[in-house]
Amino acid sequence: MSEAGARDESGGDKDAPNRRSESGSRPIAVVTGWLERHGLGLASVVTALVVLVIFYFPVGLVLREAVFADGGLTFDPIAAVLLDPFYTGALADVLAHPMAVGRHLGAVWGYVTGIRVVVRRLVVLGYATPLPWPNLVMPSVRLGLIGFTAYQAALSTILSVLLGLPGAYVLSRFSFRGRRFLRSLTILPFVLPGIMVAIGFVAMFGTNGTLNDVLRAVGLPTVDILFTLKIVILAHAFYNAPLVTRVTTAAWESVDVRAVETARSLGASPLRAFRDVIVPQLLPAVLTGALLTFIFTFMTFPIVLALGGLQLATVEVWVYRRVQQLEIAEAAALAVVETAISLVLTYAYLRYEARQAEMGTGTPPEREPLVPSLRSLVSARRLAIAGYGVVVLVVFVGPLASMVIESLSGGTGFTLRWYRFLVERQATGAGFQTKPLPAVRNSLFFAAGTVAIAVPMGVTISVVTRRQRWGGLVQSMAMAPLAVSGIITGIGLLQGLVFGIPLPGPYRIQLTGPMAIVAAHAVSAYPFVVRNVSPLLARIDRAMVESARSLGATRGRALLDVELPLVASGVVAGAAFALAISIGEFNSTVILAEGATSYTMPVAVERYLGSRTLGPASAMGTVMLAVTAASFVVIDRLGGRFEREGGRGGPKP
Amino acid sequence: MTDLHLDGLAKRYGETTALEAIDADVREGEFFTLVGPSGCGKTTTLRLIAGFEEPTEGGIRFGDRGMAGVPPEDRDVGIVFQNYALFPHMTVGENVGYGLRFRDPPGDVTDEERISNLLELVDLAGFEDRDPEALSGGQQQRVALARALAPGPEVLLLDEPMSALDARLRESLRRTVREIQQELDITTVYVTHDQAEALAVSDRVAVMNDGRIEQVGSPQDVYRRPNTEFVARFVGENNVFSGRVVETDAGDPDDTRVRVAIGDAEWLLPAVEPGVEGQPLREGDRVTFCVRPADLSPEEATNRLTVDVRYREFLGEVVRVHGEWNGRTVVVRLPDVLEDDRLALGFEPEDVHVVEAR
Repeated sequence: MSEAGARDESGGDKDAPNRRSESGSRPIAVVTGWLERHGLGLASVVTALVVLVIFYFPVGLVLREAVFADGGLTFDPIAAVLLDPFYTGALADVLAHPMAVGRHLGAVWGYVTGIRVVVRRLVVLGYATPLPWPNLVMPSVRLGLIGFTAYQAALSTILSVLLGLPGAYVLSRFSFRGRRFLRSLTILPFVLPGIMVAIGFVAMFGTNGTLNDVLRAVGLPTVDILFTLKIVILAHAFYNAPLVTRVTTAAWESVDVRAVETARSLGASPLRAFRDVIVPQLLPAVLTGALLTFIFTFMTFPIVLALGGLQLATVEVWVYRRVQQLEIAEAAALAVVETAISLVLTYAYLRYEARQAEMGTGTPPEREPLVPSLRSLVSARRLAIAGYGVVVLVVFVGPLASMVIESLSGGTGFTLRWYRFLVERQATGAGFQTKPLPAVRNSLFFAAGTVAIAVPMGVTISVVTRRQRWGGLVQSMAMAPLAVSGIITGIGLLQGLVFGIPLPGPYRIQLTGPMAIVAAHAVSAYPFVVRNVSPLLARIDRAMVESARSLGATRGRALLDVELPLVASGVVAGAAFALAISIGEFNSTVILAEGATSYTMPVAVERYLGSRTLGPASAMGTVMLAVTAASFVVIDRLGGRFEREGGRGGPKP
Repeated sequence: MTDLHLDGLAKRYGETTALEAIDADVREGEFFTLVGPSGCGKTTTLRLIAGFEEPTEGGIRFGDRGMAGVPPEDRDVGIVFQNYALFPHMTVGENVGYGLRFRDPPGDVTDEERISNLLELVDLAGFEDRDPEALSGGQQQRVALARALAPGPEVLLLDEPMSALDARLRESLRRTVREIQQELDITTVYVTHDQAEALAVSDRVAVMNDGRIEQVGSPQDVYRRPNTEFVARFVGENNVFSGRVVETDAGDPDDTRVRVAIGDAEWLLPAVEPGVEGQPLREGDRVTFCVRPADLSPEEATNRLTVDVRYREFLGEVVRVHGEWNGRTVVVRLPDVLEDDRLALGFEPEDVHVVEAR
């Protein structure tokens, strides 16, 4: 008799005859067994409920103002926004008279024929160089608020791509010490709180900033770009260029060297092979990064408010202003238009990302050493890279370093008085004053809560939407927090959760103070968990999970035993994002923490911001930088252990 | 151990039909192979049996246990995939023992004993602590086999398990699989696109095409007596012709033949169509029939054809010659290299198999 034949043959039994975990009558086994079978479904329901209650309902509450008036449906507020040249510029006329095609075509023709090219001298950061440079002169056209928002987003996107691509080139094509470290550092700018970046930019590019100090020291004319579009765009590039670098590097590293070699053997020059083989493979990644940059900068708020002021207002800033003026209907209508635009872009982004995930990973070409010898540094290519290094130093390192320097200097030179101020405020501050330690404690507490909620939510969404027919749509809906105005979410949370959502009968859902803040943070953080986990999950061979299922694992068990360990690196990265987003979150925190004791570090930074000096705020900002960095290290260590235990040999990002 | 029944199994994805009402009965302890070109529905069938997908129509039974709505983890099947699908974060031993987390090993053995027994069975004794990614493809596939067998499943499913391996390894592994299957006497469904492999290992073969089963039978059956033109062309190498019956009472009086016209040529064929209960062929029938390449010979024979040689392949024991006759390709296997540009070939009526007649 065979060994497999020794098993009993109780046919007709629905469950496998010798099933292990449910054989005992212990209640714990029954509960865990039930959880394994239904845990994923339960998690989906809970996730959906959380997103519904913490996001869709509050946001809906505010946006309803745009379409409901006097108990009936109305499109008046939205129409008012669309037809107001203040918002939609020249497009308002088109929207108001869509049938007057001839007139509009005439206007377009007039615009196109008005374009001129004038040769002027090249201007770099305010200096006129002797180089001739063609300048495009466009006839002025009224952009309107929405048009201007898109315009600055487009400029920011272009600059981000220009600043990001050389980084991808250096990171993917050269080997040097610290390359991997630098590669992982590209995540950092993206998660820095806006208020801190704003302070850093003022400290770096302000009238008395580090850049001007350096320029003065070497006897060059100073630049003054504060409160101009230039510094706003530069700050946007600070956030998003590393993002472009990141996605492009990943694509570049997965280019198959054999494709390039094939092109070369068929007679293509290195440049031609680059154009014909590598560029088409990089383009989707670059476009993904550009699209994401456009979405983020279209929704921009703290950077513009802090560095630009109202004359450079974007849609989001105007939503904030209208809310402050209690013009809720107009704010909501504006937010509806804004949300519609960014949702479409988000959907496009997700489609694009999915297509990229299908691209296989090949054998990338060997990296060449960045510094093979000192002599080699004089080549044009390496001089260009060195030049790029200087730009990186000014744009990316400069602001953060300037903030730290600012916190250590006062008027005449080195000083510790700003830190002394923090200590004194902590020791002797009155009850109503903002103290540093509670801010740190609150931030860490909220961050821990956010990670604990956002990571399971994000993982659940990733798992549930994978390879589903409606997965793409569900993912876009789940990604909505990325696309909806943070101001609106904040107001919605205040109106909805804090004041309470009435339920039938005497019940109401009410979340206040810290709970509401954690919930709001979790909702803005989980999309990043999804974005980190989903691509890795998509790469896991379906057969892996199916093998586990056939061997007796329930769906939930297979998730815990097989999938999670294999996407560990993505889960850890997602947790790091969630942590950083919670620590840096400003919009909804400032709304929900108003007056209460639950202020966080960015709120403290904002409250320390004085009119005369950046000192206390930059000291607090430096504390925040240190705390953020320390928590990153902790997550990395904890996550590293998790990865080692589980993720051996799994797909790496 | 169980028998396995597919009753009118159909699977549609929206507009596309992957599987069109197939019926099959797999006997207890049988090695049953689904073979067909890619996209024929064989893998879909396997996935339905494993419970990864639910059929649109019809049902699956293990013995008398209906499988509708039974999730994969409760079906008690073991599956081996083409790409091994070993868990990269577990050792070889943990991989093989994974199923024992949920089911007791058959017989009176501990989990550790079961794991080491199975590794021994697949000739990997002592590999418990190895990292699966450090193993060769063939070794990984044997680990996957051991993993699938460890909990003592009722049914073993093999989804193109050899396709990723090189030819020599494939042959040795398929012998291992067959030997283990016979030793354990486990009901096995094997999916492959390689008809030679299907013929070599199976008890019975189901040839699939376009979501349907074209023919079920022993390897000899489907090779010697294909029921359809598709089977005739798919299983083994074949020369398929079609012509019209012009005379029913030809040849010897005691061994009746029919005369069939194919273009200008006229050949004698056996008088009955074996596929359809031995029905006699009638005048005017359109017949499709086949002659194996090895049955064509340069010697004098009843039916004759002269082919223009297009190219030759030296295969060692024989030479395969591809020639052209009446505008169609004819393949013949000859013991010697013949340098002629034209070959006079012949075959006997009893070497002809009539596939279809209309």
